[in-house]
Amino acid sequence: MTGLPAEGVYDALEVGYQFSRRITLTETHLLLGNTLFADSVPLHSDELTGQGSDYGGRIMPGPIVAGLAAVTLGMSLNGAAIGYLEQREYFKAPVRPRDTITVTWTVASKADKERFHGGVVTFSGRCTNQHGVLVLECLGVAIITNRPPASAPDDGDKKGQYA
Amino acid sequence: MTQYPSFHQLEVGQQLSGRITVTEAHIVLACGIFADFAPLHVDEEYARQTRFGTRIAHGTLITGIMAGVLSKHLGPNAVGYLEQNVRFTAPVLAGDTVSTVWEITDKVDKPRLGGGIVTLRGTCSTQAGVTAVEGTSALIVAYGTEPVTETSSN
Repeated sequence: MTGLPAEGVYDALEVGYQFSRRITLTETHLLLGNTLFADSVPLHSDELTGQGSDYGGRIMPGPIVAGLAAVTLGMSLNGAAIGYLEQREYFKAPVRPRDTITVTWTVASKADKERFHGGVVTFSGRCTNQHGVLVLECLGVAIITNRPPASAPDDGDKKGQYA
Repeated sequence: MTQYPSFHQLEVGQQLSGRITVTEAHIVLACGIFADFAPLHVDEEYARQTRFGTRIAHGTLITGIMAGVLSKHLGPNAVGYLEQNVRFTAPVLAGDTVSTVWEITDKVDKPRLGGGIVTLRGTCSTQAGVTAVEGTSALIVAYGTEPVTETSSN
């Protein structure tokens, strides 16, 4: 729970505001990630290769962890994040199956955009594992609206960039 | 037999590419692994009212597919993904066939890592030639044994 209102989310997000989510990554995440990304790195799929590496076992593809970070933005803001423009990811340490990852985002800056009934918000993020080790630093840029979540985004800016 | 280039065999300007069709299954599974059930990904009636006209793929799914292209070319010599910076410039829909093209922009030898850091810039475009994602990445590529070979199981 973020304590944000159902509407007026953009206005409620102040610089410095934080929210977080925690999730345990499993063997299933690893297998489905390899499948979805058509990832053929042995470090992700071959336990013997993993054990013979500095990591001591298989590790998660970085985009799974980065994806969890991005999705925390989308799922924590009451449906007000209507466009994801940009993400920067810096992988700091490996993540393994059965690690529990805490994603924490902090509002870094805001720029009002009337056509979105809100604005563009830049968030700085950190992901840590159950030992408190920083595994990912990231930055995300999203369009946040003040409209209630039932509203579909309008077509005000055809050049709006969404994903 | 698949041959994977080592750090020394890669050259600045070299391109690494791959193509894949994004399906309904990708979107559904991505909802599950990312725990992202935002209406734009799961609610067709909602999505129909948006500018996209239908559900769209998760941006992070596409960036994962872009990273997967690197794995296809580098195999066991891809030993550490350091960084990825991306901009989402257009949606990807189920049924789109996306082409990823990475170009090596820099190489820095790191003997203490048993390889070096390779920096790339890349794009992912739909079958219509529309760029959906653009960005940069950096990873550690091992010296390996030159060349690395792997026997296909097929």
